[in-house]
Amino acid sequence: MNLERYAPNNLKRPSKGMINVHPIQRGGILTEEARKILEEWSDGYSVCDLCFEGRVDLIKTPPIAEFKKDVAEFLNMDDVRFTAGARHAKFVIMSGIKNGSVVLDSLAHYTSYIAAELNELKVYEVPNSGYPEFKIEPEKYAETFEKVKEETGSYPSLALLTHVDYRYGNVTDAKEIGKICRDYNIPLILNTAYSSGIMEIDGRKLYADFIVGSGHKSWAATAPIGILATNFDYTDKIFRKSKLRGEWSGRAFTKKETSFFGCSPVYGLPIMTLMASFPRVVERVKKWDEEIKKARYFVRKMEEIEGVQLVGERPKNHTLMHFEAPTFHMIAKKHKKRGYFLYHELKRRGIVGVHPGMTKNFKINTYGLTWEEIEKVINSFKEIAENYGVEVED
Amino acid sequence: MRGEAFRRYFEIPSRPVAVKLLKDELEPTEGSFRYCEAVRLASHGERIVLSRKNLSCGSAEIALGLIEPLFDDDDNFIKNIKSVVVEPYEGQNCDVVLIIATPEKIMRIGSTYYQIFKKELSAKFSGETAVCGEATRDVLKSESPNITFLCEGAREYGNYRNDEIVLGFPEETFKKMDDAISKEQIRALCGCLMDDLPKRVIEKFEELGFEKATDHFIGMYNGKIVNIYVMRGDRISNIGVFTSVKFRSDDEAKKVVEQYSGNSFIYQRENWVDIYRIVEFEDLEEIVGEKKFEKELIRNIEAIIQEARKIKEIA
Repeated sequence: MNLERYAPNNLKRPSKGMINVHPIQRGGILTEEARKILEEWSDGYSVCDLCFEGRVDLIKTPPIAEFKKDVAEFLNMDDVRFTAGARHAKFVIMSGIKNGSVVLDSLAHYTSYIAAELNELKVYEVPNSGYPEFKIEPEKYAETFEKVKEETGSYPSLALLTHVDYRYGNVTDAKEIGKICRDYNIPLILNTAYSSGIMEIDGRKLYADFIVGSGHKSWAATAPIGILATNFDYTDKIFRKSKLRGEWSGRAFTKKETSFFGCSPVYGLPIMTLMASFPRVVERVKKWDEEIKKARYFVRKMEEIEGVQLVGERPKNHTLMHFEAPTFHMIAKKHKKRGYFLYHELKRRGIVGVHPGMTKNFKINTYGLTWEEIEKVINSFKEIAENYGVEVED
Repeated sequence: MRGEAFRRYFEIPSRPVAVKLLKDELEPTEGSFRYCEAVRLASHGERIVLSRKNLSCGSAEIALGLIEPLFDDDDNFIKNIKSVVVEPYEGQNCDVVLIIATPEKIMRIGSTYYQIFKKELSAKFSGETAVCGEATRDVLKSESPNITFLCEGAREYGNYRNDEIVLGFPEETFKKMDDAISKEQIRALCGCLMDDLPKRVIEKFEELGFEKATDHFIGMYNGKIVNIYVMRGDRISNIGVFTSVKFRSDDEAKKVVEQYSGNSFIYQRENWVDIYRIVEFEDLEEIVGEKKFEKELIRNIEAIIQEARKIKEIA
């Protein structure tokens, strides 16, 4: 065993100081406020110093119990729990439903499928429109509900919509789908891993029964932390408490919530950074229009490079974008570094986040980049293209 | 240690086994062994030298060339072998490398083998003279890997578990795989499959120059970027062929769409105009190998490209 490899000097982050355009990183970059508390709360179960209630969401110092209420208000929902990521939140909800079926969009994250599988729910997919926009049309939810009824004799137990999908960054009409679910009386999980925390989300207006969020993807928190918000119609079922009693000892855990393993595993930096960034998050969601302006500008400029084209909905309504670039792919075929050339060329220019090896198509997230940084990324792509003989419009 | 990267990568509990056939007399290991039994012991770290003195299986003696068969035939191309060294593979010079694993692990090895060599692994087996013949002698003869499902002897006396099978590699092939894994040349995949398109459909598009993107195929035809999308449905039968034309402004694109009078579908997306055609087939998987599929596809691709050029002129 070479323990030297774990020495602090050998654990430096390769992307330090660079512009990171990785799709999963932009909304998780810590705020200055969160950085200030890092050292103080970094030890193990740091938030448990003054835990009298036996559950992390009930702790008063630091003010997690209050924070829970504020997050619920922010999302316009009744109650909130913090989870070990959005995936855990989806699992928790589905564990309260169990059996039956779930209808989800065909662009959903793999964890939506896995959560259903783990809870023995049969999955039915809502088709997308295919190339080039891959859109989820709301009425397809109703069609799929009917299909489930026809096949199984009953409507699905649950529906799930990925508000913004991770593959194309399409923003789906959650409100319309929420209305359809309400009409059918089917509870809706709205997965906002790429929306709440950066965009304004009002659960009631969107008719969502559950909102699932990702602290590390979109709320400027350290991983892993997720948000599960719901209304009182479901709290008894989803936040159900342990009923077990030790058959020999007589022990019982009446305050522990079963599907969160009793006390959700977010103690320490995840919950503290989520909390420290919250005031800024509340403010930043109001500036979404500016982010869209930057994203659309970025798309326009990238498409000045021959062969580069946005895939997914147009105009762009989100900062996560998917480009196809056959011209870069042709360079890669002849380059000694193959598909890795683009990654290395960008890295040399201080930009990381385009997946190493990807040239034919790649994803970028521009959320939170300054206009100067946007220009730097665009110019870098253009410079690389020109250096390899790809035409760039003036 | 050589071979260890392979073992770790595929998470195989036992070690790869190196087999060397020698025409020299070596001191045989004390005891009596079947060849398949020795292979299994070597996969758990033992070194066993076999000769006619301690090899207890007549079929293995013939398969490995330690004795001459009564009736010589083409299969008996290994001759005059005096010793067989069976030991854990650590990069030493050998003839064959054997892997004992479950079908699930062999499946993963097969997928990686395909990535590196662009060939499928094959399983040619008869349920007789398995580890000695099918995984060792046949591999040496064909210079290609082979999977064996073992024989009665191996299952009965060799201590193989019911869920274990053996894959034999020529040494050179195994080394290449081990090297590729050590150097991390294997494409790291998340393991998620993004569709269930039949392999022959994917291969056909690739053969025509269209590579698999996330949900569709992308390629160049006569200098124009063309995308192919296989429509989802109960049956895979229809495909969409797409190309796009970029205009200076949304208004210009709009004007072009309004004036268009061709035979393809057309629509505007900001300053881009997409032109596409749906090509309908009875059963894509069935027709994909036929000449008329290619002809029909190319005809439609050429048509949309021609129309793309025309609409550029309208502007």
